[in-house]
Amino acid sequence: MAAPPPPELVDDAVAEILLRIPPSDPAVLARASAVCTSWRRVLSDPVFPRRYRAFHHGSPPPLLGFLRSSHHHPRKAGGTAMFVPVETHAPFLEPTFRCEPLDCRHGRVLLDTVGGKKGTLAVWDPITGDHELLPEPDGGGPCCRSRSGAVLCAAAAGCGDDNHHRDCHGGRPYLAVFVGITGDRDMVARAWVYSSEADEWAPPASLLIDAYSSIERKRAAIVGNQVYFLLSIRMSTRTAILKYDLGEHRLSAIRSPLEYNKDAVVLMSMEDGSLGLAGIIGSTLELWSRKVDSEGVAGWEQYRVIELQKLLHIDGPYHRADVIGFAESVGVLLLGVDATVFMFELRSGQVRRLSKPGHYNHVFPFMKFYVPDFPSSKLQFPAEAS
Amino acid sequence: MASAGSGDEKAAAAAMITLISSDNEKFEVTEATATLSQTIRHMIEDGCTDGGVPLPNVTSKILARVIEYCKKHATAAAGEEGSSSSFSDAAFLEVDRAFLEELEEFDDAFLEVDRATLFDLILAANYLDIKGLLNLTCQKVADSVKGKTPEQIREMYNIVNDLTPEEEAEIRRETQWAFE
Repeated sequence: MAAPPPPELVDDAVAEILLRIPPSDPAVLARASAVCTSWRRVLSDPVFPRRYRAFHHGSPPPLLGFLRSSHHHPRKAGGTAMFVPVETHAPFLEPTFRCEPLDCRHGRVLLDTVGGKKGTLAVWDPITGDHELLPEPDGGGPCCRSRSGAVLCAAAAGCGDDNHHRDCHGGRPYLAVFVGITGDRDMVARAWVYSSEADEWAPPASLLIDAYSSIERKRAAIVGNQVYFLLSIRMSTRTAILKYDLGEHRLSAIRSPLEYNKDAVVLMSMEDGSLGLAGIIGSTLELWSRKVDSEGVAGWEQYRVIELQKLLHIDGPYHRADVIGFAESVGVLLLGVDATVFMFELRSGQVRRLSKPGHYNHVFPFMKFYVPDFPSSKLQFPAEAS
Repeated sequence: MASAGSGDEKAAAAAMITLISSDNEKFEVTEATATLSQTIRHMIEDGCTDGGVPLPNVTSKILARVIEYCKKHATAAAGEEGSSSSFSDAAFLEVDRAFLEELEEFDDAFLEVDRATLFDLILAANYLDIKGLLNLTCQKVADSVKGKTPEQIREMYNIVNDLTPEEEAEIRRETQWAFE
């Protein structure tokens, strides 16, 4: 009979298997940790998360789920779940305080906490529940009725070996951008930037806005140094775009390509480094990209038109489709039709229907390489006998 | 079953290596086939292969399968080297494509084994350091555990649960979200 293989080989082999578990469903690795001591030991190894991310370096962090914003009122603690997982299970914690999401990026969530007991803004890690409350910017910015924001990793070189921030663990350093519109006749948009390293807000940049507009609480698109927010022009169906340049600390406004209903449009950061926009008119999804022509003039260019009725198998004319979110690195548009969410993968054209039904106003996709972390474990697994 | 490598085109010139399984069966293979294993490659480089290479962790049944895999993929590697200089030639690309398809079919058929054998192949691939085989077999297991509970995974692969009830309860508490 063959001698049993040396135990250290078993762990090596187990690691080789566990490294190959697809990252799209984080529950698989979590359940694998309860199989036996060897599997548990491999997954608890402090180097495993880095090895896992390195093994999957060819693909961007997967879309694990999204945070939803409620329609009008800030969510109360313990109310409807903010997180909706793409697979059945996800390791997300719900905030225990009154808040609304404003942005979700690089593993961090920017929460609007106005009206609650936590000040005005918080940066939150939905996996650990850790959060930081931001000080109030000068001028009472966050209390503007019309407001939005963005949070981004401030590590100059990015976290990880590319632009996907695959090693981003939330936490510091980060930048938060906050935009608000004030005034009645003379409306002024302002943008403040908070740096976690400086622990202070820079004085705001401002822009006089000629139309009566408000900032939509939708996810901003970040393209290079530019952060783009969607504006809706009140008393009309028009939308526009507020552009904040982080490098120049300057605000400006851009027209939308067409008159889309504000619920049926999202901004996208495109792979080619341009600003994109997805909008729905009727049952037609139109994709636009903002290009600079040979004379240096920027303009919108429609690059794709998709008939949703056929794509989503919508029967009858009474179903309204909204585009409710965009996950940039994986190139997935989230579409809401009645109580159903569809994930539309732009590159492959594939559509997937999410099993969990629900009406969503706008969603903030959460993308991360998640590996279960067992730092709190009191279990001491003995090293393998040699 | 104990002899291998006779089909190799370079058989006349090729150096032969003898591999000895844990149950003492001898397999003669070409160096090209054997060196798909990094472990054996290093042994050859160190000149430690005279009198055969004992592989005390690999049974004859598994070693025969591993050699089958290596022979097929060694031919593929040789083919790649041969055609790399003529990539512009469409005919060559066509041949490459057909060969890759054939190789894929071979790999699919190769994986049609029971789960115990699959685990043995993983252990052998890991011990012998054969990247392609390790990737192929581990990916198969990794894909098979999706949607499975720990009990189902143990049952599938005959894994003994050596966690104490307390430890298991603790793990489940930590990862409760994955079990709900």
